[in-house]
Amino acid sequence: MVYPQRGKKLVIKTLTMKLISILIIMNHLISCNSQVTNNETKQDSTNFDEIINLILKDYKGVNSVVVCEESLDYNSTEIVAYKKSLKQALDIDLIEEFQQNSPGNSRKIGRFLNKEDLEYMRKQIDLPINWKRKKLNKNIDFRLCNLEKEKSNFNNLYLQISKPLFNKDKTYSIIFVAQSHSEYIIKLLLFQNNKYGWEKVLNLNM
Amino acid sequence: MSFGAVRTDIPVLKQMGKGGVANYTFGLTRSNLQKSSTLYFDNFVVQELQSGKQLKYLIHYEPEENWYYNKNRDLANYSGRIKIYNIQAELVGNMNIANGELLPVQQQKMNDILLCMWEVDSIWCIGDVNGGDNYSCYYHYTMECSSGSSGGGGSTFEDIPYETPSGGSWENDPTGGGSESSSTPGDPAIDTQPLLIDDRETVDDKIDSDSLNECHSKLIDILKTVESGIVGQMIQKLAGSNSTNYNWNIDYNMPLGSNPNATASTDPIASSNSIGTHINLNRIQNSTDLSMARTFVHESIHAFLAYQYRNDSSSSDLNYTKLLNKYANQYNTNANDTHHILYLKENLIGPIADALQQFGAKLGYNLSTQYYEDMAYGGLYASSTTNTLFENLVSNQNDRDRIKNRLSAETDNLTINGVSPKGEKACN
Repeated sequence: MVYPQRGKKLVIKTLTMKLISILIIMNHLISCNSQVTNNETKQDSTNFDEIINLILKDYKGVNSVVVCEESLDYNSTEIVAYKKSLKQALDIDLIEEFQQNSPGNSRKIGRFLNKEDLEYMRKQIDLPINWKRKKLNKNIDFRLCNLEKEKSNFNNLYLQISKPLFNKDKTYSIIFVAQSHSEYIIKLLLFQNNKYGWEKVLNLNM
Repeated sequence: MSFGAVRTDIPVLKQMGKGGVANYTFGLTRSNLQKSSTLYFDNFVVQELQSGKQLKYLIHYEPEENWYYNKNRDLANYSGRIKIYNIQAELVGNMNIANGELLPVQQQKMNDILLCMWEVDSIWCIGDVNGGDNYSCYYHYTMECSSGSSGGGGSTFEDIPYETPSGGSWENDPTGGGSESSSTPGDPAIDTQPLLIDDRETVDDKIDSDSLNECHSKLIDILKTVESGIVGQMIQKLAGSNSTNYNWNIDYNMPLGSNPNATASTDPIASSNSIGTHINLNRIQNSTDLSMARTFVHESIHAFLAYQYRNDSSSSDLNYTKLLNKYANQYNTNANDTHHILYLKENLIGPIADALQQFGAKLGYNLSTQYYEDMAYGGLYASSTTNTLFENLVSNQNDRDRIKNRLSAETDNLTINGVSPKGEKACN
């Protein structure tokens, strides 16, 4: 009766191994899940750094640029024309109308994003974002600004930046930038993440 | 305003007046700088005076289509616009006429008013009745103008200050004679209604500053009179005196959430019939009149370019649409930057300064051209691209500092780094 005994032991051993395997797999799954979350946060932060640096390249030769954190709110900031909030301005038809009347904008936003992408982006507006102070060019000061109290002259340029919004697979990002020198303008920038990294593909006055 | 050359392929109309003096009317070719689709024709008139002197002026007709294409047209039933320019091509009179009747002038604003009366004897035209570049009309008329207040008048042509012309910009000398008209000179006695000349009667309709307070609105009124030079042409285009139905609205409604450090914002795109410029009233509370003039002139060019891009894709008018596309592709597709690049690359600094100098002179300032050129750079170094162009144009650091200090001083009516404003606070 050796075989049955062996068989019992074998069955128990097999069951135990299976249980352990299941535990290992579960543990691995939990670990993987956690890793994905951490990676996303890291990825967002990296993406954000790269995008901010791309934006600031447009001002690299300008003296004294002040970048104001958390200063451009999607709900309470209006685009210049049409008096719509930034949130309302996330509309493909509206953006394409702007493009139609702006020089050099032959690449319509519809080539890159669809309505679902913009809907996905709009849902991110109210989620918190961890703004980190960046190491910037010596002429660029990245800080919290109380614009009402800032005393400006023509030697200062103020930039306000909105929270960057990403599409589902993080291949595109929209960010609004308001620039104030003697004039106030607000721009919609669309960035594309390709094999070379992030690249600005649209730059539109709104 | 730009005029073509005297046409040598058609005869000159000669009209004899009182005392044996004569009027000569010459047809002009169309100018390349005037919009080709606009229905218009120009005459150049030389009028002999009994004193032996000559009076020379240009008459620019913009008739309505119904009148122009009517084979039985008669100036007595003229409908459209007539503008009168002196030999320096400066506008001295502007009237709107419907069926021969002068349309009422809504608001009297000119200090020196020309009061003109005319009598028409005949009209004859040469060329294809369907229009085109080879079509010209000549009028046989007597016109007598006087200077003075709206209720005054009565003196003759010899009182007009631009009586003695000097030089001119003609490609052909118009003194080359021509065959005499077969029309019979009429009696120079004047019995028709006086034509009141006001060069801003339609401007008011197109540049709307009703939302502004009185002191800023007065500055806009002056802006409307800026006419010579490229920037003057842009302002007049916006003003509606050059065949556009476009409106430029100026108000204090900066968008919500906008940065309080900016002085103004102009809509980046033109809607179907208007474009808006928004002035940040809080930011410009201490600004001088020169600073406000700078802002208004600068923003008017944005408005013109936005209008041009949307409505004039033919790019026949000064080719600005083409230029905007070119610079957008070369530098930055952002409309605001593209506009500023055009300001800098197309040497608009001089024309902006010229417009500001005209503006400043009307405010009573006698400042150097350099001062106005410095003011013209306002807003043109706020991005990497425009800053690089600015630094190329103004290579000396001291000059750049002077420009920035002057702009700041005028904006805040403060002494900045030892530089004091020259203007006076625009509003108290």
